[in-house]
Amino acid sequence: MKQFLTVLLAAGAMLSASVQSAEIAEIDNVNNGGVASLRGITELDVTRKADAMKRVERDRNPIDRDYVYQPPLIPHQTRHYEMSLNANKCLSCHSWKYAGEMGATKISVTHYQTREGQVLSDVSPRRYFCLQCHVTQADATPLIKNNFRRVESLR
Amino acid sequence: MKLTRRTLIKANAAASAAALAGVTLPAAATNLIASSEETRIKWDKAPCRFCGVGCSVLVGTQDGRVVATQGDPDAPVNKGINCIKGYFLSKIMYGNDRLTTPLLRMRAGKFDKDGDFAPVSWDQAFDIMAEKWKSALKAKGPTSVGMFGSGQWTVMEGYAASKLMKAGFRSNNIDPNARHCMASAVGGFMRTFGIDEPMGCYDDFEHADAFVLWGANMAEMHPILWTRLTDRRLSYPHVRVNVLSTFRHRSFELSDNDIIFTPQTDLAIANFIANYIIENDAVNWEFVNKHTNFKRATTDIGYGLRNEHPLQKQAANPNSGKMHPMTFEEYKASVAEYSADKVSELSGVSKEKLITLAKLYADPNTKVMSLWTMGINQHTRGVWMNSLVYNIHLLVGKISQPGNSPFSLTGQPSACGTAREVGTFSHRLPADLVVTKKEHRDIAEKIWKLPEGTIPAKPGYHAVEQNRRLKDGDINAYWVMCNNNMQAAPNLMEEGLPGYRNPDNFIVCSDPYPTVTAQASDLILPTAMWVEKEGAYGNAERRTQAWYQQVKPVEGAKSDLWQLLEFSKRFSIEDVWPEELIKEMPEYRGKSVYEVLYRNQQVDAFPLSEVQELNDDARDQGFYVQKGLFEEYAAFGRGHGHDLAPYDRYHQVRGLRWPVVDGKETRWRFAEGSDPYVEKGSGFQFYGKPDNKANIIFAPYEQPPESPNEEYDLWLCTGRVLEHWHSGSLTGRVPELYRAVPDALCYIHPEDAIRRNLRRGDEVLIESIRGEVRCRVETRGRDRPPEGLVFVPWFDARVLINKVTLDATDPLSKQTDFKKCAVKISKV
Amino acid sequence: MENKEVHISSLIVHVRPARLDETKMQISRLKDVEIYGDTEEGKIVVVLETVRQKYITDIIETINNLEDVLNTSLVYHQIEHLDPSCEEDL
Repeated sequence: MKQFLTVLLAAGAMLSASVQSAEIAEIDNVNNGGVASLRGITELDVTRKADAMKRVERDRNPIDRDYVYQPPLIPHQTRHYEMSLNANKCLSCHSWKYAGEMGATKISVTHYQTREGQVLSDVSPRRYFCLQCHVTQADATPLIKNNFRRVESLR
Repeated sequence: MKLTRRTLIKANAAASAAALAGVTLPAAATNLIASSEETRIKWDKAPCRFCGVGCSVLVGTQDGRVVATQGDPDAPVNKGINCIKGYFLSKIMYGNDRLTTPLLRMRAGKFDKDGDFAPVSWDQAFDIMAEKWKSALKAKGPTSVGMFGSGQWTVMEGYAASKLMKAGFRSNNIDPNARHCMASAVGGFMRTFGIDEPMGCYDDFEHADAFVLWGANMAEMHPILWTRLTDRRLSYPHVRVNVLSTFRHRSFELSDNDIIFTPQTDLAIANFIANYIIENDAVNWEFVNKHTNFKRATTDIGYGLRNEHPLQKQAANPNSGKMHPMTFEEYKASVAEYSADKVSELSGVSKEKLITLAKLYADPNTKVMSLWTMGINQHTRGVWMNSLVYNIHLLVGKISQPGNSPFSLTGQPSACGTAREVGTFSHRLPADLVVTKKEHRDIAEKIWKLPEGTIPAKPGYHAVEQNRRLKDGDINAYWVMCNNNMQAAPNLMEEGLPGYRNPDNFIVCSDPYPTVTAQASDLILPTAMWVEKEGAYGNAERRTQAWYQQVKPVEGAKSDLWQLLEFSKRFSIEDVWPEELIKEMPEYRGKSVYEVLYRNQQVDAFPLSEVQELNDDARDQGFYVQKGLFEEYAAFGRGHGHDLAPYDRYHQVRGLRWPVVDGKETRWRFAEGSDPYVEKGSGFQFYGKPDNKANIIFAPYEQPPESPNEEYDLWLCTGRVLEHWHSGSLTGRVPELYRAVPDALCYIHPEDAIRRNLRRGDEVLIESIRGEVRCRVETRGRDRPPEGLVFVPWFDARVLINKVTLDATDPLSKQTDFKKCAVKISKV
Repeated sequence: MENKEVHISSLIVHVRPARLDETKMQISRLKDVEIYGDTEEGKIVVVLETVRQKYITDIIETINNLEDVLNTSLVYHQIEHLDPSCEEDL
């Protein structure tokens, strides 16, 4: 077993030794032709400076929705929320039982239905992981404007 | 009439229920819904544009625009729910920078590789393309042209593309980005079963007693299947979830057995389980004796690097996929060295956890579903690893029964339907046929009404090889469609970018949006997407799903299908075939490639009278082109285990799982009573192999090509996040998804961060011997790597983590290993 | 504060086709329920407007318990905070 690992490390060392001296490839004709991507117009071979870390606002008003089936976005931070087999922090405010006193948005009754359409007295297990459909929003300006238009009646 | 918000919402509520139930609402109700046409939303179904799960969505359109989407309650896959990406499908087509005209690099009114992009007409675009293709073909022959496609192509587009390349240009240099995604899965299926794609289906989720995630983070990558798994786990307390990974991620939230292993040691863990089964007398002898053979893989096969790479030269049997028969006793001896002690030491996983896992497989009363995607497939021993998981299931006979299911997941909406079933790989033809076999080429040439010898016998260049050949100047005319390979492919700085920028090459990129790939190309073609066209996708459980066009494309954009067909009109058969071949079918003399391939009384067999009112592709060609392509393609598989239903049926149902025989779909293949191809009295038949037996293939642990060393002291693993799909070219343009995860961060263990004097949010330089990127570190996010490993997602075009990754592949499947390379990290 | 919550939801109720008319009659007698349409195969589109979420499940249960109802599936649900005194015109 020890031998196993030694061989492994030796191979790693050899590989890097053989190429380490080589500089990172330089390509002399990189040119985006004036077209911007989500990267902007920074050339592809440039090591781009990282953007600032975004933060999620601690608490804000509910975020307006653009169409009737859009899942509500989370208007607060969720860091350190426990989510496990034993605990679901989201439900401690958003379940029917607590939503009123916590001033939180109630879970839609669609969440009480099983795959087969049967209505349960509590949240359906298939809806247990809230963050699959509901996400927080960072203080970031979208990279590209989106021209989605709401139906007239919801504008 | 006066319409209030309340009546509108009620109208919506009624309309969506009515759409589902197939109810035509009476006039009175319709009037209630809306006082005028403008407020009415039309609902129709479509499969989701993103991952391989294949959820169905209802798309709401009004005035020629998508205004809403919702989970399709009628769809067996997702029963009314979507993940966050699926819920925002309605916005993916409306990014402000949708391409609306072809753009060509020009200087002084002419194409110039170093010029700036300027708008040109479609005619000018095809002119220059045809000129470049013709001159490449003339100078160096068919291997000098290439195409890089996608598991996001519709079935018909992939089929039309494959036909154009393999029969038209007589070049096998067509490969899909699915090569990066599940080529190893294909390799595993072919070696073990002789036929591609899972035997089980998603119904297994509701039957299994234990789930084992082999390197898959389903909570983020397959969220809707995760809801089904979660449902099962929480509804039935006896169910156990085992999560294996090289770092902690969201799927661990549901885990009963957390297994963090050292990269590459999954090979040893799988062999340990096989060993445990044998040592504890848990082999299902009746099954093993009747339905399996034992084989041994050729070892020391290299790492799919360039031939001159030292590691490649060192390998004893580079790229060898040869298998040798062995007895059970020999197999037993081979796995015997993978004891709990040894594997625990190698993998860093406690013996208790390994044994807990092995027991689930060994217990005859526990139905086990194994699930995997990129962790196993993007692996320099991915094909081996796929087979090692099948070995475990075959040893205990836990396969092809509800809940007993080794299940290979996919990452793209039509990785199965288009890339695999249509066979858009450089070595494949439809329905599992391969170009290397004469009898297979004969079948294709017969169906396509082409002379014998049209399709070349030598496999073309695969994905990673294509980038190398572009760099070396062997491919000179190259078309990238429906994917963003400059961002997706490994080793961008040494292979991808030099290849695209090689002055000898002309690169075309078709995309709805200006991507990183577009920025590196020479001609950009504005492309219609998703419900801007009619199409069909095939998901990971063999379910084929079709949809109708629902809106006109953005002005100026054209579908991939239209682009392929129009381009084929630019070539006469004399341009692409040698005289010897034309002589075999002189009736093709003087015809265009388009006429030979697509006006063959098959593809054009269905008239416009069968077409929906909105179907631009059909109206542009003058016939029901999608149906014609689908039906011609379906001829390959019908009667051969890949049967598809008649095309029209797919528009009536929420998909069907092939083989569809006598109108019935198949849920569990190879099992008597479920699969119509299995003979009565046989129990199981692995009919992909001539003797109806599956292979149990021994392969050992072998070390990875690159491991951390003193200088490059961390493992780098790359992957996706829930909120973005692939390179983010669609999801990055949806404001809500962008704000949910705006930047690719480097997830790092707090101790590793402290050692480098880093705090959460600090900017770092990540370097490998190939390239470098900068991003910020996260020490307490959703991913928690162990010490010695970092995770960076690849969706972020501003980071381009593939500048750093290694272009090692599985030597058999040629699939890239994006999960393991060595990097160093320093504070900027 | 007065509860201004309005829950609007829709259901597809699947009933024995032979008993469609009778069942529709029974459903239409329930409070807060409107029928928007139906099919020969026995599918009825029902829209509910209730002031409490719980009432939705109650109604579904009531409908499910009707003799000829095979299945009820909830398609849609939205919570609105409407002030009836100043409901806006669209």
